[in-house]
Amino acid sequence: MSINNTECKYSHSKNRMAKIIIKDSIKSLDKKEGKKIKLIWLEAAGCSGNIISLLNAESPDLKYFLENMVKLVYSNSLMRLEGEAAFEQFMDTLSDEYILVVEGAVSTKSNGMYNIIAKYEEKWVTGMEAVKLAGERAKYILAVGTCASFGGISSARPNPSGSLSVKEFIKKEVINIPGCPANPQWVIGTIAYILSFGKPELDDKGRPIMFYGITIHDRCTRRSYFDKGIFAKKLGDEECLFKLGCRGPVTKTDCPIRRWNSSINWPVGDNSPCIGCAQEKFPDGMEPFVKY
Amino acid sequence: MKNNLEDLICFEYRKINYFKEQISTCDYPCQISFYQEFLANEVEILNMLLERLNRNNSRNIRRDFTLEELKTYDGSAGRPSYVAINGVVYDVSMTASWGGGTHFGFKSGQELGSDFLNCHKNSGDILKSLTIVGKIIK
Repeated sequence: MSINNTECKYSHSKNRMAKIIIKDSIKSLDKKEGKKIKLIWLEAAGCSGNIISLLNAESPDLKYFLENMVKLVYSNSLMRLEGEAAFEQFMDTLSDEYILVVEGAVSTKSNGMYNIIAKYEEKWVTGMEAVKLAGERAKYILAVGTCASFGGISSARPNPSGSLSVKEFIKKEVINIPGCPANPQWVIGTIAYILSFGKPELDDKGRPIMFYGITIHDRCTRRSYFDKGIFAKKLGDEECLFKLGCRGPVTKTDCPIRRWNSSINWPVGDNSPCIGCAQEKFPDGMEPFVKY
Repeated sequence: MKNNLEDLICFEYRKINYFKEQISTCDYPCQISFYQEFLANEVEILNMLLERLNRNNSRNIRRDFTLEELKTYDGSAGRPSYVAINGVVYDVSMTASWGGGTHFGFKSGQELGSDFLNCHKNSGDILKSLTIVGKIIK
């Protein structure tokens, strides 16, 4: 058989595949309208960077996420209600079906008093208490950000607040979406998958394989420099940043192809080494971030 | 095919000699500069090949290190990263998980035997994949 005569049977459908998948996804999400699942977004011991990162979402954006995908009932940063009324909404949701998103680690020292998130019926409500309350009844628990997923910066040495990852604390199945912060598409993508098909396939560290399947190094745009042994000597050089302490080889995310800020760029694309922010040992095990 | 590094270097020497001969027999400056350009290019390639040969040779030679000497091989300022595991010195300069000569909070240029055994269950496989460069002496 000559090569000229062979034509890929799927080339025609390949050209339309992306569009079909997009249409299907939108259809499956739209079906849920009217009975959207509730979502509680708890900000525990962390910097609230993940909710800020979520605001930066695009395709789909936050508006689509809130209007068509979930009913956000509780979020320190985004909800309209405040004070006791806000927390009452949190308490009311517990009897219903909901997805729990936790960002930030769970501070356990001094009975959680290092992280207070509300005042309810004249009592301080700690992040630890709220995670425990909501975690027990949640249909799915998502730990968004490295602190929630693995302890991250909150539990860095010497860990004065006794911070734990959500999974360590709650001892239930948790879907980890690490990153400092997590890319909004990792968060919305995982929730979209849950709404459409249920729990996504996870790796041994509880991360969705679709976003955290292979290392940054595997898909790095500068991989050919590494293979040829051509290395950057200082920050700002355009070669492989391995000798400056790049953590791409030990960090699993799809940053090189997904990128950040509306897919404009990513750290290595801007001549700065990966600091391994989505790695389970971040930050202690990823130091030094730059080495000369 | 000239896969062998030594063969490539011989070939490069022959090319350089040829260009030198041409330059010495040329009458016109434009011809000379034409060959000089080729010559410069070939000299550059030769230097690169010699450097590679040196690097290969130095890797094959095993030497003795004191712990003091080992400290200088920490991957900084373009130096190689060496790590000692139970007295045997390994080269981790090109091991992907040792970016910048550091690895999950550990720095190269020191003996890391006990930490290595604590962290890695498949220690044998990892050591087999590394190049030995020498051993530690007291």
